[in-house]
Amino acid sequence: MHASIGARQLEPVGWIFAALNLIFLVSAMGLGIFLVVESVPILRLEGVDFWLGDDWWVGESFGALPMICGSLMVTGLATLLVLPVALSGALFTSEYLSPPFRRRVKGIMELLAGVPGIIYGLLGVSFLTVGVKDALNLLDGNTLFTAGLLLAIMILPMILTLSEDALHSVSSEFREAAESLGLTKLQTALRVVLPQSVPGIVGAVLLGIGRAMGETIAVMLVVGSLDRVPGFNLFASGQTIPSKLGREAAEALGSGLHWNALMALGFTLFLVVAILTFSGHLFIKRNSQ
Amino acid sequence: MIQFKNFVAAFGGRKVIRALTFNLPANSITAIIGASGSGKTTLLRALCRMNDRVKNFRVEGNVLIDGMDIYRPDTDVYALRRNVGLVFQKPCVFPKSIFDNAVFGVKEKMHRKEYPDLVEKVLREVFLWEEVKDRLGEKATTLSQGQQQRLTLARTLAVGPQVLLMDEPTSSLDPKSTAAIEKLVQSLKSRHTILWVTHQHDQAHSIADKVLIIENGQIAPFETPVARPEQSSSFTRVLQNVQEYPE
Ligand SMILES: Nc1ncnc2c1ncn2[C@@H]1O[C@H](COP(=O)(O)OP(=O)(O)OP(=O)(O)O)[C@@H](O)[C@H]1O
Ligand SMILES: [Mg+2]
Repeated sequence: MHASIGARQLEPVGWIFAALNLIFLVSAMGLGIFLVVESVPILRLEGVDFWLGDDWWVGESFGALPMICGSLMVTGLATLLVLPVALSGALFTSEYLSPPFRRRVKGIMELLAGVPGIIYGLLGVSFLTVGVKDALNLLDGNTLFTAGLLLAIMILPMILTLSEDALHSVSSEFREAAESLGLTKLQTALRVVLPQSVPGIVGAVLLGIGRAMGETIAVMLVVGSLDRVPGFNLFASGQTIPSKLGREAAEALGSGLHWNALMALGFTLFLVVAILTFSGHLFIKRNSQ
Repeated sequence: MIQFKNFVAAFGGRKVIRALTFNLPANSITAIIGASGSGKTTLLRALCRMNDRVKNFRVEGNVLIDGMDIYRPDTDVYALRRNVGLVFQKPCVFPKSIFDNAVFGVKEKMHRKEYPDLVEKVLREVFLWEEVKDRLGEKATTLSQGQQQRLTLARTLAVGPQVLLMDEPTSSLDPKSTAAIEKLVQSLKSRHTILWVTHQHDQAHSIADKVLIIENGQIAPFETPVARPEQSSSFTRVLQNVQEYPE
């Protein structure tokens, strides 16, 4: 431990990495500061009401609540939908598939995890909205539910493959010890492997939620873009923070308060996603220790 | 009673155990000696079918435990493993409490009210109880290597196996714990059939009824322990050896 720290201090490469890290850190902080500065005018005018207000009328008032609620509901739904599928898929891949098949599944998942949001969005528009509309007999298929479902599909590959990494990294000594006591494969997976990979799985889920929170285009295409507090009705149109930003940023640039309000929305999102991502990485790191 | 009939164990084309035929009587201790890589661990693992998951592992011939061929396709592997307990060369405790480790193998089989008694019983059997009775809730990973080894033995005993396979159980123990485990194994003989892998000839001879030497995948003829100074612990024996063969 000491030796490695000592070595890193002497190594010139170490300094380069440290410098790069510092640059990233400074840029991230700079971005945060920029967002804060840009949102000061609207926050000074409205204060907390910016986050609590439920009306967004350009020129009158800017209330972020509909977007915040929309984001939370859509992401929450996506998480609920994705968890059982991702977890059982990860367990199956890690514990039951033979190595060649496992590699194939991992390859496909990693490929799917990299597919851009717009592709998922197009698929959503082509199939999901129509499907949801017909299946649930709605007037309009562009709902918060559709967006949540689409996001669940989008983040599934990433959560599955990262959770699988966590499960697979559990040393097989533990599996053998459990099986030598007469536990079945399923009991071993649930009682030995799963508990030991909880931090890694939590990390994977947090990263997935972070991605879902920030997804713009795919959500924009299917969410219906209606700024109102959705109550508890998932089957109505709504709006999320990124979809709002995506729709209005171009027209609002340089227009004073409207722009400031969007920046304040952006800052809110930035903060939440930063916290999610940071803690996600923290958990994954803890798992691999 | 364990019977090997022309038993072959192989990884792919490489036979590690070839044409093994011998019987182990019930309630006896058999020590297995052999050079590193001679197939001792493979033999033990074959007895509880722990190599089932190894892809190119295959067996020929028969192994019978109490007359039942354990490699018959209709064998209940999980029941077999509860009946044939394996203590690994390297102790592997679960990152749970000492208590939970001790009852790990009986969780589905027993009511939780019976746990405390069982834990005390098996921990006493492996001479660990006095050391850990005040810290049963602590993580088992905080125990020393030797304590962990005894805990894994207790964990196996808790399942109630009839056959006990021990793969160098004392390799990470100090002389005192080694002597304790040796004594323990001798006390277990009345209820279990024990196979004990070791590298130490003197240990094999002092504890076992029979000593089996594995060479090139085959068994040198049974060797009955010779010159068996009773009551001497392996520690004193080591000392004696040192005196007998000065460097
Ligand atoms: N999973 C495996 N796949 C292929 N070969 C294996 C496997 N496990 C063991 N072997 C081989 O079988 C032979 C016997 O190994 P084994 O572990 O049984 O030896 P051992 O007598 O227990 O040695 P040691 O005293 O070092 O523990 C070795 O040549 C080893 O390389
Ligand atoms: Mg071995």
